Amino acid sequence: MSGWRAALVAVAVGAVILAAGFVFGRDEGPSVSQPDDGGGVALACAPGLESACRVVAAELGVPYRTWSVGSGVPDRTVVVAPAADLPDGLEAGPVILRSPIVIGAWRQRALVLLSRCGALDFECVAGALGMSWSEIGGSPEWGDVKLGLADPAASEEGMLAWSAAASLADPENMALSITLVASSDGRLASDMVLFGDSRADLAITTEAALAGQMANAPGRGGRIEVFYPVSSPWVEYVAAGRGRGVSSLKERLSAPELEPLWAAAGVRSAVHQVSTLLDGLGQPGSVDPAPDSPSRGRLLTDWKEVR
Amino acid sequence: MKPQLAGLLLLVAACSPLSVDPTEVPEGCVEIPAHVSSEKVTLITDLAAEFNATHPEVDGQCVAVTVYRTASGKAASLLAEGWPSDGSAGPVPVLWSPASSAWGAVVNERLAQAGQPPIAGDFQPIMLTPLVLAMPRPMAEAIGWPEADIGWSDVLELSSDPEGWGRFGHPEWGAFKLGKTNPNFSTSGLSATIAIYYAATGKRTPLTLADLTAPGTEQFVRGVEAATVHYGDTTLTFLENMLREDLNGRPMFYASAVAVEEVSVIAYNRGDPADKGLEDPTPPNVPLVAIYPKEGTLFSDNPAFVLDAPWVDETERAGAILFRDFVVSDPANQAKVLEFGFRPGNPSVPIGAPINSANGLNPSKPETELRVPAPEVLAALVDSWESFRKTARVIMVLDVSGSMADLGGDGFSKLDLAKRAVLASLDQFKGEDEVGLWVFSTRLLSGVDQDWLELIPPSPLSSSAAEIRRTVQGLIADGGTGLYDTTRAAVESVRDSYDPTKINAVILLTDGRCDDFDDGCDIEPLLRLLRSNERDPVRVFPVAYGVDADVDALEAIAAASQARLYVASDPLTIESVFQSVVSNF
Repeated sequence: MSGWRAALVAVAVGAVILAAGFVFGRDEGPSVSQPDDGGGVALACAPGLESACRVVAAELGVPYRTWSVGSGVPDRTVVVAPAADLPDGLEAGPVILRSPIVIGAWRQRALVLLSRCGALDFECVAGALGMSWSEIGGSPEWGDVKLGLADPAASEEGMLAWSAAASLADPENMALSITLVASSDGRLASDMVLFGDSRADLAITTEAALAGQMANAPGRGGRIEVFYPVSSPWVEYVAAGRGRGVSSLKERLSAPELEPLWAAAGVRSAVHQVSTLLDGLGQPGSVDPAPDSPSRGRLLTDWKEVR
Repeated sequence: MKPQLAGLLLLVAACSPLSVDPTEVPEGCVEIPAHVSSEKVTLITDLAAEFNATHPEVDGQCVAVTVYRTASGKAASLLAEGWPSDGSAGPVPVLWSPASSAWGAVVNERLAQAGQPPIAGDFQPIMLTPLVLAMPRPMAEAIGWPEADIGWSDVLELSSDPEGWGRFGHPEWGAFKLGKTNPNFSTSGLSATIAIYYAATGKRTPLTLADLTAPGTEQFVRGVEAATVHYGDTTLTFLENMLREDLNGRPMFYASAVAVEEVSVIAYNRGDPADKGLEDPTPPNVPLVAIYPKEGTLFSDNPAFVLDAPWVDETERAGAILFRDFVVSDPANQAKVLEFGFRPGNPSVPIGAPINSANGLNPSKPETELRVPAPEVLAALVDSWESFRKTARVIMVLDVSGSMADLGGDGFSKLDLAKRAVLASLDQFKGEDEVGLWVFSTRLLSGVDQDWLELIPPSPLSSSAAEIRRTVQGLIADGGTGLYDTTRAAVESVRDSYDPTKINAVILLTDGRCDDFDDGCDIEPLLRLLRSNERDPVRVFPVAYGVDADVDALEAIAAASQARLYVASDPLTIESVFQSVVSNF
């Protein structure tokens, strides 16, 4: 890691700790209420953005609230999430952040796939589904190839990842290989690290969610590598909220000076040029369109078949 | 006699004591009751105290977490059937942390069957621990640990070999013996049983109903179960017996492997298998090491469910989320989780000591996680296990001395309550189990110098259950307590017709102490007899009943036969205690 990148990551890590301290400070005690002044607006994000948002919240001096799709949004809270996942009645702004759907893999598994395919792309993953690792050049100890996905019925991130993965293999092989289904992309990446390579060897999910866990992977016995397909859908995030002070925070979230912080945490700005990405991330491919409404219905039907 | 899932939960519920760790809720604060499984109650109680000391608030309303120890199966059963409003199980939970998230799925499934919405939704694991096969290090090394991949198929192969450990150059270790708890009572036992079925089928994707009856499944499962020493409701029985034998200089004597959670290996190697926080524990001479079965294994993921239940209001819910985040998100608190020997539930906290090779563990294992099957498959799997498990051959020896006529509680005599417990326990046996019935007292037979009476010899319960029921109902109490000569006679009787394919045992229920001084109340000859049965072990499971039972003597009897003492000081608990006793079969 280059010096400036290391410094940036150190700042980011420090900010996460600060953010945690803000939320869980021992002296003042944890609280979900905030002082009713101009700085009292809280930030909440889709689970896959949580690591990055905690850093940004600390930088802006605003509290961070855990949020998940389907839960309500309290007054004076700005939520950053895909527009499709927001509750009705929230005033959403323009797209401020983006994250491509990518392939995340434990390094040892990735090396086997790279050796087999040359490039670790969707086709390579497709060829491995339904197989055991010993059949494709890996260790017999690794068992079968295990794929993780976020539930497409539960979040936009899950739907877009499934739209990229659904046609990879026949349903039978897909059903055999999907061993981790998470409620969100954030939970998917977290579980992938928590349970090591015993629960999933590979995941198809957002770059942002994987980026949020990459630093944790060595503490669980390995490294997670990110691979970029030639093209894939991108998740777009908007900021939304209601109540006093919300508009101001929404604007601040897309300010140019925050762009390096977002990028260092692995999240791409939709407004500004990305310059300093988290170490380990690379150049994504082109953008595939998001599925339309009829396609989404078919995708959910396909999902039920493999689950 | 085959329990369905609901029955399984009821069994667990009946046998799992609730104890409350009182935490004072400051006046005016909203209580957030958290019900957690026993292995983490000390940790969570400590963390709750720290949390409460920070004066947490929800929109200006102070909240305080109280922690209750509630076995996973008991809580699952109560949540599915309706939490008792009389306070007997503590306040209805807002936060629930069973040992495994599978219990949440079971609750949701049962609620769905009743047309109700799920209450255990998305969760965060507080901490993780995988199920392992713990083996004395020399035994593990003999079969290739740590280099070789070892699994349940190797257990089957070794336990089926007439040469036993002789196959690996150690005939002195005898046959391969497995310690494994009863899946109706223990999360470890349930995880091990599921893992054995996966190994039997060769599958790593979720088991189906068809897998349970696939060719070869029965033979594999029966083969592994045949190696079982006995079952039981807690892995502590195995670990404490192993430690005792180790400290007696016989580390490889009691069991060759026990199916336990990884965290238990750490506690055992520290010399404190019950994790009592002993100040100066004596570590074993031979430590255990963990084998992560090559076919895959299951994790206990200790979820923190903030219940989506109608009795949980917004303040309680927000307070529970605050506490959950305090436990999971704060790295300092997750470091405490690691100190307790669990893998942290926060991915930002790396796995480190004590989960390391110095404790015979491998933090980069397991390679494959096995998933808990769907609830209907799980219920069928446990039913199937009931058929395939090792058969028991047991004599139930009941004290009918005069003191058993004393009042036990609720207007019933101690004998009445004991009779009720024995009758209820019969449903836990399977038809092939051979069960006999003896009674003992000094006035059973006039003119005959014998304190015991064989009422029904051991015979398959399928044919003898009705007779046992009739006989038990007719018992009356009279006379003194001829404890030791009766125990000796029962053990010799079982040994005379010893069947190596079965669990050979005596259940000894008594409310007193030996007072038949004519025939001898010296316990030593009995203990020597019990210790001498290395090749044909007869386990004696004593039940100390009431406050006058000789707990020390009964503990010595249990230890000498590598079994376990059960205590029912309050006669009203005898029914649940007796079910725990019978969980050994």
